Amino acid sequence: MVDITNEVGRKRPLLEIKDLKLDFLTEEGTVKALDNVNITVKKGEIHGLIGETGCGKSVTSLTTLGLLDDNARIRGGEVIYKGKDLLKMDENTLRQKVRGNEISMIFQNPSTSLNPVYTAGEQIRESVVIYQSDDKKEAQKLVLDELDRVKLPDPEDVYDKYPHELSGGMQQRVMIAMMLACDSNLLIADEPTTALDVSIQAQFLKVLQELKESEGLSILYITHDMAVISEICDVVTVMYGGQIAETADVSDLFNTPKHPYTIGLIHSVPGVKESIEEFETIPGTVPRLINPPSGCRFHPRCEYAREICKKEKPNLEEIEKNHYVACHFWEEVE
Amino acid sequence: MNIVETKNLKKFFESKKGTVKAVNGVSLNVIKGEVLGIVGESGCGKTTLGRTILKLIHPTSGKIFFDGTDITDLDGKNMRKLRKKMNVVFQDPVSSLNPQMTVYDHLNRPLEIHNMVDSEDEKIRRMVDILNTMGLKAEHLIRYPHELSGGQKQRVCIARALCLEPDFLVLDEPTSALDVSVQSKILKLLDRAKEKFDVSYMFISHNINLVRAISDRLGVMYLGKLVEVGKTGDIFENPKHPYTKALFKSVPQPDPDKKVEAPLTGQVPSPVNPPEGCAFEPRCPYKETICERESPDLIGSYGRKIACHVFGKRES
Repeated sequence: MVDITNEVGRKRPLLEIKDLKLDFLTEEGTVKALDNVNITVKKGEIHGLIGETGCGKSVTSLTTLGLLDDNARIRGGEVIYKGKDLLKMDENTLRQKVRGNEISMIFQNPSTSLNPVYTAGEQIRESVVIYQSDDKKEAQKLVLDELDRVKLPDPEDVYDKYPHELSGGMQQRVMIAMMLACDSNLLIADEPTTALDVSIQAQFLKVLQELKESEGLSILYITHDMAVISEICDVVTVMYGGQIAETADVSDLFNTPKHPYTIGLIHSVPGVKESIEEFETIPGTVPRLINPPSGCRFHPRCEYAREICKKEKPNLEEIEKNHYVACHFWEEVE
Repeated sequence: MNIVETKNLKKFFESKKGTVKAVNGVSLNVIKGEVLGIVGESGCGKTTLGRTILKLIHPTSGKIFFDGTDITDLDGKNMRKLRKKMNVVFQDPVSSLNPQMTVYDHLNRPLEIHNMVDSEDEKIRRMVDILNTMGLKAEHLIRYPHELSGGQKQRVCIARALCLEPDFLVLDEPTSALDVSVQSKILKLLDRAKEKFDVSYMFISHNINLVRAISDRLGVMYLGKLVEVGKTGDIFENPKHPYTKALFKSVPQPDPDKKVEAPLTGQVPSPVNPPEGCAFEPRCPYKETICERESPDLIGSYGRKIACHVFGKRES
């Protein structure tokens, strides 16, 4: 196996999200969706972002691409991509220079991302014409190349198919082909396999991994599935209630997790424990972020919590090389 | 002793494109007190199977036995009496609960319909008891669904299914809409309720790790048919059907040192006019000429059965 730590040490950061704070204004009150979020995606790495419903993982990615709803208010922080702060860019620059040609995004449900009245080939050709070649013949050939790169069998056949004629896994690969046609450097994938069957998921994950290895594609992979994370990610960030709980290389995260939430999460996943009796549960439920718990937002559910956890938010500390934890008592956690 | 048994059960749907053979000849049994897991990918017919067994939809052909009695052709009136013995919990608790009804109302309806209680006191006692079993409190009786979290809603659905003290429950992806930390809690509660109410489950899911943890026996479905049945531990230790083998290899494990393979190429064929022979034949690496022509029977011994021309023979 490749020694990931050394490799990561040499890699340059591609996307740096720094101290990002974000609120949503709603009728019920202000939702404090992100509270000092820090994530660094390095070149050629797959960075997993994991958390449960409402932890802010999708909001983080939408902020990066400037795709937030009108009621979102960024309260601070930076999103640095190749030395430039994306938060300071205007909509036109974002659209012309960033979305598509630098950063692409794919979503959970590919059938709603594709246009039902155009064939797969036509939709990819649109990207090819904008970013690569406007010669019609050449564009078509390039589309077929892209379809081949994502390992779709019989690209000519897929070219002329409408989205409804393709399975979910094939649709998702068409989305990837479209991204490749834009020549993006960073892919943000938001739960891309949740709607797919396991056998199709396995094929899709292999394609992503091969693209990382052959073309140095960087991926921010958002999911709630610990098993998928362990499968393809190099580095993992765990989010809870709009805060970062822990960031570490994937083997460290699974072998020596330090944040109580990470540990709870790992132990509640079927597959780690063989039988129901051994399952561990995290008491309580995910907090609502209109009135989030004070201090560390995990404290009401945490067995290690003490007075200080209610008062002070723990800083994200580097406890070992590339292993960051935000917990007052990480040294005591087992 | 079987609580449920099916014999060559079929459920076909007519569509513009042709006949959809959603359940295409399934024979299975659920032993009293056990959890039978049913796994398979989308479109394999696992949900239709669950619904047909409960006669929520009428089978096209085949037989369904409940506690030894043939219920296949039971009329509405007699079926209604049986409803309290068998029940179902669906995937999405939000659409299973009426937003205008409190938890009390949801539990009250089945108890009233089946005349399960004599007095209001007894009714409340019973409701609170069942809520407690599901980790909820008496105060939840006056809550509306929107006041509950996703996990609590699903616990109400399970409580409603259990309040008539059924003998058999179909759990159709009961935790798929929930977060993992909540999922493990629901599984523990289901496990506890099983002991307390002496009920048997048919647990349908696409999450193979999950089914592995909860079920005693396992049935693997592919395109409307069972391809392998046996004790959960045996099947995981030594999967025999080529589809089961490939499926298990595709499942990611929460361990960075274990990587999946992607042995299955191609897609599941359409259940409209499925292949003449073995449904898995087009994707199977071990296929022989017979596989194209003839659909294999589910055969084997000691409760371990597989439907495969190539590996089935070696079994029996």
